[in-house]
Amino acid sequence: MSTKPNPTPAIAVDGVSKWFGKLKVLDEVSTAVAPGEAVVVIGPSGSGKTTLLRCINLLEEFQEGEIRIDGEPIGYSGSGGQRIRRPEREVARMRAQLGMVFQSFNLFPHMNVLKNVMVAPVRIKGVPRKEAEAIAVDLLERVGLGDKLASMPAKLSGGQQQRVAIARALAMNPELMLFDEPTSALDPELVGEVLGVMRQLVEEGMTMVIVTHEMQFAREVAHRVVFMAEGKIVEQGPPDDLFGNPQSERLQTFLKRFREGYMI
Amino acid sequence: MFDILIANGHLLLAGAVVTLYLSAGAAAMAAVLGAGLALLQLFAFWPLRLLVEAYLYIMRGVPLLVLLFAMYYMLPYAGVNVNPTAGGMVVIALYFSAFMSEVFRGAILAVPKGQWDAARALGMFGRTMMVIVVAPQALRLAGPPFVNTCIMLVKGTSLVSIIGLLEVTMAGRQIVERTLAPFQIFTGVAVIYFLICYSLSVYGRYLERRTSYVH
Amino acid sequence: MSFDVNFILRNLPVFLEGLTVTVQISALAIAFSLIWGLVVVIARLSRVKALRGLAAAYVELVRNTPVLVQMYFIFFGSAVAGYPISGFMAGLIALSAQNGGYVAEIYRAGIQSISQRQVEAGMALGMQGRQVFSIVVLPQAIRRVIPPISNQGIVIIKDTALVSTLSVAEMTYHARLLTDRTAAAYEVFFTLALFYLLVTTVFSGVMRLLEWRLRVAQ
Repeated sequence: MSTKPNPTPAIAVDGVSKWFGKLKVLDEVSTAVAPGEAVVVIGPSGSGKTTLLRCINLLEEFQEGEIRIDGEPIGYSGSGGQRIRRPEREVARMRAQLGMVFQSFNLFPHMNVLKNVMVAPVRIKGVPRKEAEAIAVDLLERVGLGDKLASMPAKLSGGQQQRVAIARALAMNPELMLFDEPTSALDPELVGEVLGVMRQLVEEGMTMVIVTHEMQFAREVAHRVVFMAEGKIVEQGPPDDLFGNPQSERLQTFLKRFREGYMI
Repeated sequence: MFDILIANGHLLLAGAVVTLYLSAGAAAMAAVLGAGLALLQLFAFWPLRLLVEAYLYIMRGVPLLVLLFAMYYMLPYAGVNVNPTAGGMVVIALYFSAFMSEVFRGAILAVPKGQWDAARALGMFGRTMMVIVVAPQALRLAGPPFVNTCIMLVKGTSLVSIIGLLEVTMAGRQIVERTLAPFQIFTGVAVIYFLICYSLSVYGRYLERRTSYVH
Repeated sequence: MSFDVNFILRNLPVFLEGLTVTVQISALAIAFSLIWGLVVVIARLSRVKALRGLAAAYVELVRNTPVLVQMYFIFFGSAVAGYPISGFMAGLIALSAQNGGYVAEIYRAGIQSISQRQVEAGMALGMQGRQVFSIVVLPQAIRRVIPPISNQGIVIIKDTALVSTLSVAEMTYHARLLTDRTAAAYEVFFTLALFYLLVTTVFSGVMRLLEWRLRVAQ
């Protein structure tokens, strides 16, 4: 046996292609995320990075390839070239093991903060109410919102809402976390508080895939950076390599524009 | 000036009571039926969906009066003896269920996509997702158009006077035949409808204000 | 019981006769509602406060009372007042009065849905109030109001059935007479429903065509 310390990856993406109508938005994307690894995906808008993230928990269907979570294929099962969509129940069971944080927070507006965090553990995992509440309170304290338990989401700032959303995802005790541009909808002065919570998670060893435009954060926190353009992974590697010595012209242009302050 | 109306007011009020319970009963039935139709239209297997579409097409294209006549004339031939009040109530409910289904369908579709995403990402699906996340928000959004449909329904109940039900419009006609005072009496009838419908629309506007700062 | 297709075919002329009256009153009521709605909305958006209030009160009044009661009021009222008008006329007036109120609200929503930014863009190009309205706002508003106008038109078509109670010989009236005479309720009401579906379907088809044409013309 080889000595390579390579257990089953937390996420394995294998030749995934996706079309929106005739437009190919993901073009044979392959990559893997190891347990405990924090991967940041960067790239211009329309590069397919958000779509890739949404394919990982099957919020988007994809037409070719396979994505495995801890070795188990999500979404489709099949042998001999046949792809069969797995039943919604099984997909949902797998999604419950993946936390996801959205650009627009998507807190449930009709529930208070505590209920937002408790509802999935109680209703999906069957955690006893008392226990779920204790976990929720603990998580909300960790993200600095222990005093907002009874607030309704509409009364919170964007940064507070996003921190609740992170706590909501963590409450399911997920094996890994997906972040879809978690700070893009925030006022600049609120970005820091959300990135702070994410940084803490990385330090705790959470497996994470983060789509973001926060280059500084990527540089400081990521174990690996993936650069996507036009549905393909163009370049990937440790942040210092990618930012310090970009190989492809695409990435060079992208970073140059970024430094010049273009909105991408 | 309104002496005849005052003298016959009690008859109109008795009719108004019938109008009210006819409306309430039909609205409750139409709401339940409409919500079911909306769910089928959105989520059912296609043959069933097609059937629902056909039902909605008929209900939206045929006048309520024709449906009431159809019930009134056809059921006796089929050997079914219906109580006209119950029959009228059911026909009105069937007719307005088509409009209610539109209300609920619109409200479900108006729940932002991010809410469905968030629910799915937490591992919810099917009925759990509907009950916990979609329905509470959809019902809130459905409030104002639901009330508007109820107003149409209340006005629609006036049609059962034509098949002989003694509600407020019929009461008005009977009094007019006796007193030959159509201005007074039909003004009284109109005022009764206005009071019912206007209070509903005030309530609808209140709901609208309340919905607007949720999202 | 059996379903007699021949009966329908034999009595088709009766239905067609009713159909012409239904189409007539529908077309007139739709046309008058569109015109009356315009008058009401102009008052509703006018600078004169009293006029605005009057128009708003009018809309509330017609929206919160049944068209059938309005018909009775006009029909029986005019007879008692000594100026009897026909059922056709009474029905037409009531339908136009009621639906004109709804149409006015549709117009208003259409006009107000054109964003302030569009108006400002027009002003920036040097247009004046009236020009902005006729060049920028109106063409866009017209396209937007077609779907709700189409729905209202269907409401009007269906409500024309009510004039049968004022002895106007349109489709529903003939259908009732025929049922009373022949006892062929199934055949009669099946055919009647079919005819209404035909009229409403053709109408909404035409409106959709119109909407499509205006969209292309843009």
